Amino acid sequence: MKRLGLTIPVLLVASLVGSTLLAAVLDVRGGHAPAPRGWRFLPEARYLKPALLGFHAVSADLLWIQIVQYVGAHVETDRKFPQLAKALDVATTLDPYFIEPYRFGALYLLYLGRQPQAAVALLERGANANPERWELPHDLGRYYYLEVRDDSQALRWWERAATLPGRPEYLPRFVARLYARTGRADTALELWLELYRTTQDEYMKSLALREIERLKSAHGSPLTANESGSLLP
Amino acid sequence: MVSPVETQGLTKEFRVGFWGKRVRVLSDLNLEVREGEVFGYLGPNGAGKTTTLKLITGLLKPTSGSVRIFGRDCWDFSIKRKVGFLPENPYFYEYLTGRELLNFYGQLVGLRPGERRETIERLAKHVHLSAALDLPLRKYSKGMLQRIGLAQALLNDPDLILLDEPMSGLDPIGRREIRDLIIELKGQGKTVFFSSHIIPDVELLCDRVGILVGGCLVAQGPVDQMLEARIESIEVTVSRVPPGLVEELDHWLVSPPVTKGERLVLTVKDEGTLAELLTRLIEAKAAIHAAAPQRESLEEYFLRHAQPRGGP
Amino acid sequence: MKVAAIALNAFREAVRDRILYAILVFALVMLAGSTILVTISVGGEEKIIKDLGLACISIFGTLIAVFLGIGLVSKEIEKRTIYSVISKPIHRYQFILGKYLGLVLTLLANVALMALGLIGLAYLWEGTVSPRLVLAILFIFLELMLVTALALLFSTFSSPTLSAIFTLCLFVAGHLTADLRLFAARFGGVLSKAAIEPLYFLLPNLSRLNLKDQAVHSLGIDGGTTILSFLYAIFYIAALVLAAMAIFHQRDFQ
Repeated sequence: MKRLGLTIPVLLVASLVGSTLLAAVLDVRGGHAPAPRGWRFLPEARYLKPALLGFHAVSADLLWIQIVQYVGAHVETDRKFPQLAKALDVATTLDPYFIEPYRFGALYLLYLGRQPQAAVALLERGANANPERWELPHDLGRYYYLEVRDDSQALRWWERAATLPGRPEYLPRFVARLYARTGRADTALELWLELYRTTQDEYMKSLALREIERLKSAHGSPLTANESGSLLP
Repeated sequence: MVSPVETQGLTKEFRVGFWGKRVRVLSDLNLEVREGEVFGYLGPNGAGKTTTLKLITGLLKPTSGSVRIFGRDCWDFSIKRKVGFLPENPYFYEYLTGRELLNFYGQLVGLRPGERRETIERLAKHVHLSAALDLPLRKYSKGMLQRIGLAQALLNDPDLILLDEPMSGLDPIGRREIRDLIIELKGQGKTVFFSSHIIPDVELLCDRVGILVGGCLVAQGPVDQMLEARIESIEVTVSRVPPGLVEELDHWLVSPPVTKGERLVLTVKDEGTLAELLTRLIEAKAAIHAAAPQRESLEEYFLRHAQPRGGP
Repeated sequence: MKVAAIALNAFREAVRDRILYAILVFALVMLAGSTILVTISVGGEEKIIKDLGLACISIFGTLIAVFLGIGLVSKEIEKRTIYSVISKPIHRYQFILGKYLGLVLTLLANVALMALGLIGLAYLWEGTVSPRLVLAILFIFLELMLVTALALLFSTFSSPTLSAIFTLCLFVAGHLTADLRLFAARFGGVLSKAAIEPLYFLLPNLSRLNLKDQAVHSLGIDGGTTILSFLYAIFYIAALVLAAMAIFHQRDFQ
């Protein structure tokens, strides 16, 4: 067999070296004008969903992962999140039952994107799509309580959340307290009594008792226990 | 006596090309194969031999006319059990071993597991493939494929065996093996129908012959009869012919005498002339070595009939 | 049984085809990869693993169904292995049925492997085996059986390439058909509505076989709907296989 000779190996090495050098140069230069980061060309969810041929849920997942990266990237740099609301819109439309984009998305919109209306709209959509989930009305209540300081709105949402399965322990007493604060002491009292009766937690029991005493003293009827040990008047 | 194969007015047309032009491949075939014989189906490439075989085995449907096997329609199940078929240049599932292939086909012809095993061993020995049974078919040579093809055709111990170009691509040893097998099958009382374009094999093996040209059956009959038809000339081999006698006898000769060493070959036209010639030669005390009638060989017969025709 | 013999042979052929293993390995790698992907998410880890797992099974299963299905008949004709089979005492329909069942068996083996992988992963994350997940996988398998039947049908009369294109087109159409009907109802004129209706019933409604959402979220699964969807799929598959049998019966093998 004829020997390979020098030409081919030499050319081979030269090509490899050349392509490596060019790759390095391209890296330094940065290539074409930077591709738009984000989803400028993201189609409307209404049309996107059927086009995904049944894979909309997993696409929502992947989009959510991208959103997380997007937020992370911009937090470090320009702190601007122009496409966040749109992307969250699409993700939650593709999979309306995916809770995390609503919750964390709202947080991002609120505290990072400074778009409170968008955050509220997002959470409301989530609450409507997932009426059995406590997380969404809970987050809305929290927003109204902490940010807007609107007790009646907070109450409205937290009350809704309090009826849903899996809700956190503190919700019922938040609701009770807010009732008291918004001038509905009797409802507050009933709620505290209910709490007192049903809770297993000793701390909660004592807390409830304290609130009941306060309410009763504020409204004039002293606390007495009847025969069965119940505190009902 | 029911014919193993009988076709009546069998015609096949295909639609070819984009416009679906109709091409007639077989015209009005009236074939008859008799029980227990070896029938040779001759024809140039493209004559329609394979098409005929496919019509017989039910791989194609006739455009018109009929095919009957042992008197029944060729799609009849009970009939298919009595038929074995070896396609041309057979391909079998490459990913199977020889044994797996025969086992699979054995299941398809309805052999039970015990029977299958036995039959496979027997047939493999018969076709000299016992050693290669467990090799994958993709490793088989052409000759081996032909032989395993024959084995699968014989799985159900058929009464009628159809072979499409069984000798094609084989070396002389392979051809001899197939020839021997065919003779053996005939000895078992089976009917063998095979198509070929190797004429010496057909001449040797077949009882009857059919000649297909351009989709038409131009001749059908016993081999001898077809050849006996014409005695072209008679060659007389002589020696010790007195000089001068040859010129004298020249007007009886069809072609110039041929010298073969010490002998002379004289060619006369027919038996009548032969008698005269022999008389003169004997008178002249020449030595007569042989008088051989030259029949038109099947090959010449075939070539004569296979001249391109102007269409059916 | 002759159908069983043909089915097993088809299974054997598929199993000895290396492409199958390539696809399977790829699928399992992707499944494993999903566990890495979830680390860069915020929340929803279980959901993402299940979604990705189901999507993998669906996509790779479809690939296998199409790649193996389109050659079911045409490959045999092309390679001329079909001559020695069809000339045997078998009915033509037995050949088709056997080939189909063989491929379904192959799919079953593959899907079972992938399903085990996914259920195992889900079990590691959640600590339980969700019956909904199993049901979703079952329906994915049903969808795959349907796609295979489609590929089989096309394979009886067209080349592998064309069969692949037709099958994939119908796969896409099958998923879009429900949404298109909705669109037409809401936005379309009389003409589009009239055109869509027969198409909707003719094309396979693959969205009915999609239980992925139900499996991953705790959405209500209606027993009646499930059974009816199952039967719908079975009937449609039967129709496809029977059509394949009819076409194959009439075919000439040149």
